[in-house]
Amino acid sequence: MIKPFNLLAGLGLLAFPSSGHAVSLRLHSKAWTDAGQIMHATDTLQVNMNGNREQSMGMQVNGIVDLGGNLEGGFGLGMNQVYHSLGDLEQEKFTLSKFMNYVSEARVTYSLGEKANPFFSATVGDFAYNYHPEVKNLGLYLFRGPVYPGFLVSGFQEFHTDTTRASFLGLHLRNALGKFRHDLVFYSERDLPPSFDWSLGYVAKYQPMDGLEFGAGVNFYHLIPDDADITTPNNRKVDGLFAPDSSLYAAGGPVDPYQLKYMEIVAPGDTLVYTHQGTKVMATFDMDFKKVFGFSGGLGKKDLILYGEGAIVGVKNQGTIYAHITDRMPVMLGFNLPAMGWLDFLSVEVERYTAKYKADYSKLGYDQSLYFKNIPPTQLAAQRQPSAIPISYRDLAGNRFTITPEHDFMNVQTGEIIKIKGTDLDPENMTADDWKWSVNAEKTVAGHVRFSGQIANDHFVPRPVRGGPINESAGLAQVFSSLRDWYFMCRVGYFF
Amino acid sequence: MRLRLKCVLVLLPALAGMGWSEGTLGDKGALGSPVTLVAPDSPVVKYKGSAWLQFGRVIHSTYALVNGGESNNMNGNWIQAGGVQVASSAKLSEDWDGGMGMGVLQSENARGDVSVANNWYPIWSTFVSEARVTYNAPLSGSQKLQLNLGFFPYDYNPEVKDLGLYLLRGYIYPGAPVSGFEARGTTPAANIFGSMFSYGVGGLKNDLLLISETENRPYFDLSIADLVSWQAGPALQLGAGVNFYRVLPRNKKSDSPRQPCLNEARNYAQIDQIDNEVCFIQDTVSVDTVAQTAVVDTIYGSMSGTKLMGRFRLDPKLLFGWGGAFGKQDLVLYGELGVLGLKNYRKYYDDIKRRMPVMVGLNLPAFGWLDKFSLEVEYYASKNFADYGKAELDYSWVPRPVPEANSARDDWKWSLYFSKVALGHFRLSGQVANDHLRMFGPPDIGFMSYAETLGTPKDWYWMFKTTYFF
Repeated sequence: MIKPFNLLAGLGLLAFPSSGHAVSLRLHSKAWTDAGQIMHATDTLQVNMNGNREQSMGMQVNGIVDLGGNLEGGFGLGMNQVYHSLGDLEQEKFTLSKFMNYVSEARVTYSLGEKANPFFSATVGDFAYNYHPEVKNLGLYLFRGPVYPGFLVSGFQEFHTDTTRASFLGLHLRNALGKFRHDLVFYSERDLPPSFDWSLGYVAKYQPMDGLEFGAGVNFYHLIPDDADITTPNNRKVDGLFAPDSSLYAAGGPVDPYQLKYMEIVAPGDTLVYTHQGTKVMATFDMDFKKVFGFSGGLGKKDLILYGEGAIVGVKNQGTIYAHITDRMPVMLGFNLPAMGWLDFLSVEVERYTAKYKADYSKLGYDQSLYFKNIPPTQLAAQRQPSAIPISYRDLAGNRFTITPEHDFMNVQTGEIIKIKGTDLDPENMTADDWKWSVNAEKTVAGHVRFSGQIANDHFVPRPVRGGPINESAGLAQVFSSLRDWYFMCRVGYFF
Repeated sequence: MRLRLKCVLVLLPALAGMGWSEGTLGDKGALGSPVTLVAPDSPVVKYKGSAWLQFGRVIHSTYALVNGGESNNMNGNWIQAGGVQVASSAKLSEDWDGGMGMGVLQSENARGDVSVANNWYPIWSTFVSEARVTYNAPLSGSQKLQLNLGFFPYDYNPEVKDLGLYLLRGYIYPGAPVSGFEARGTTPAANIFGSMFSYGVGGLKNDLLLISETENRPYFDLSIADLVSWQAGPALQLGAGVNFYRVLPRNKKSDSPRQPCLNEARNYAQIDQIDNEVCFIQDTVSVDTVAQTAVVDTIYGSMSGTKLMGRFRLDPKLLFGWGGAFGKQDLVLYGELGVLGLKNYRKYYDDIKRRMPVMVGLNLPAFGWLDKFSLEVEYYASKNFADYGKAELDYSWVPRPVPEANSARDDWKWSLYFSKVALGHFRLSGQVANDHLRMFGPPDIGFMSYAETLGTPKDWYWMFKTTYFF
């Protein structure tokens, strides 16, 4: 029998024995409803989400326990009620609402120094960490998304991009020395395969003057593998793992590297095995024009802040696919427009990232993850182990459509003609989504009621569609792949 | 005490809102330390919760067999479910407040026929029971102005226990009154995703709602409804409303299909012969008996439409000054009339009188022994078979033809309901009825049984529920 005491111990709340002092608990809650619509989605290869409405609601409750002395505990849970993506007219007929329950926090923190701004703190458990709070949507490259393939993560306050939810399981050390502070995060991968590998990240931030801050960081992603043979595949444990790749070469024709799963023959006698391990580095800056130049007047607290972030998602080249480091360097710039107190903020963010492959998690084996539970493995998924190679259009196409001579039109079997920039015969040009943008606004009234909205072309991954009575499909790919694509979302909620 | 506090702390994550935002829980903490719940930056928060168990049995179901075949035989089926719900409301400022809640429901598929009794499983569903913010404008005198945003409860006719609430429940084409034992709409659970603007002055109140459809497919269509209620005197309340149902469809092709259209039921296949009326009605206008040919007219329509509603509530105790041992709710007479679609379509929707459900209810004298003890009767003369699977799964506005069933035998519905709160927090309720009950199909069927279980006057079921709440 599981006793309540054991459950508490599991939460880390009782990590230390009784000291006899007062224990106080502070509850924080929030509840919200979302609504929006995908206005245009060019890529309809797997599912047509044009005009799909997005709607959800949820709530989250967190408790902060002052355990006395230097110890603090945090716990919480959340619940989202969401719907399948509607997809096309046939798929939407099976749409259901779904529920996602999650632990929003389960940590214990030991701190030294002033409570609000400790000199040193150590947190262990399941915790939230956001090294660049100015980011509204695009950015936060260091800890979001895999390295190989370099998929970026963004979206409107949904489960994957909610920075208030605990998204790190492990250890967080922080040290603050005047205008300098730095964080060390050692965390276990529990979202994307290969799972349970440990990564080590470090972020330093320096504030040379009031209103100006610089930051830099590094993330040794999958530094300590749970199983090295999965993180960097080889044939030792899974006999014939490379056989499909070998067969492609044995056929003698040209080999599209995106069709490979684990290895590539980059030169005669030179075989490269694609690894999931990699190193990210990033740099940030925030500049508050009000403080730097002494502006005042009717400006809001968040107005006129310029911020940016640049990263290298994988410092090391790998094979044909990851041959150019410049294609692994996302950079974003954001600016809080003057809202003059009418809004908490009104921001514009722009991002450039020149990776050419389609941002689809299928070959990572992401089909049974935290978020998507009922997506059956398909030919798109890596059959045996997660692959560090992105999918090709040939993976997506199967036998459903043929490529026209123009190489930029595809004819779906249903008769629908779709246009996508590039084909799998032109793998260097699979998408035309180098530029992303996002306009965000937020307004808090009465101190606790918040209205927020976003119009964007970002890295949003819509939820799966339910194409039949049982299984779900899609839900693994970013929906926007060209400059014409965009959506809007709005949210109303309260918090305390 | 020590054990109690441990339990409380364990439960706190599950209590999105239970208990307490401030105050002292007890004199000892989890390991002997005092525990104080404090929230200095929090608004005033009130918590509530409930837990319940309900069970009952379908005593007779005539047409179960035509709904999915033998597996779906609901005769004698036991119905059972249990649940827990916690919620909180927060006073965020002088004018703003918010509400949130969540729950867990454990239910079971119907067993179905005895021949498929080996195939059975329980279902646990978590749900958000409320997520709203509310603005109350400070107005003078008897004026009241309120704005609700999010997911919130709304019941324009709280007197209804089972039958009625036609304006905001169910489809128009096909006309689908919704009811059942403490079904959605009759409970405090949220049922509207959208917004509501309310204005009241004196005894007059007007509610304007923008509703995103989340109950019946196609989802996310927008409806606009307006409801007026007038307290004509202490004893009499009148109400009326209009619902422009799915007036802003997400995809017009879904709600109002036109050619090209396969016009076949592809997703909701029952035991019928091939159903070839999905997107449009095919009406035989004339038959040439010599050439043996028929002239068939094609009639296009839509799931969108307009609902109307009128209602009354009359308390004869107040009207005639009766006192005595009557309970507060005793002898209240109430009724509701709906019009499910103003527009006629030949063949299935050619008579507006057959789209006009009407119900009358009377709170029987319970003399304080019961809180509610009511008899409700409904007349709805639709001759279409009460099955909404085609609408849900094939987006069809055309009813499902079922030659095996006599769809004229379910015009009358009735319900006898009671509830009683004891000790302030313990509630018993029950119902015997022949209403619009729909059940989860047995696992053999694999999805909701969209057809009504009770199709003739012989059919009925009973339910019983125990609840505690705070």
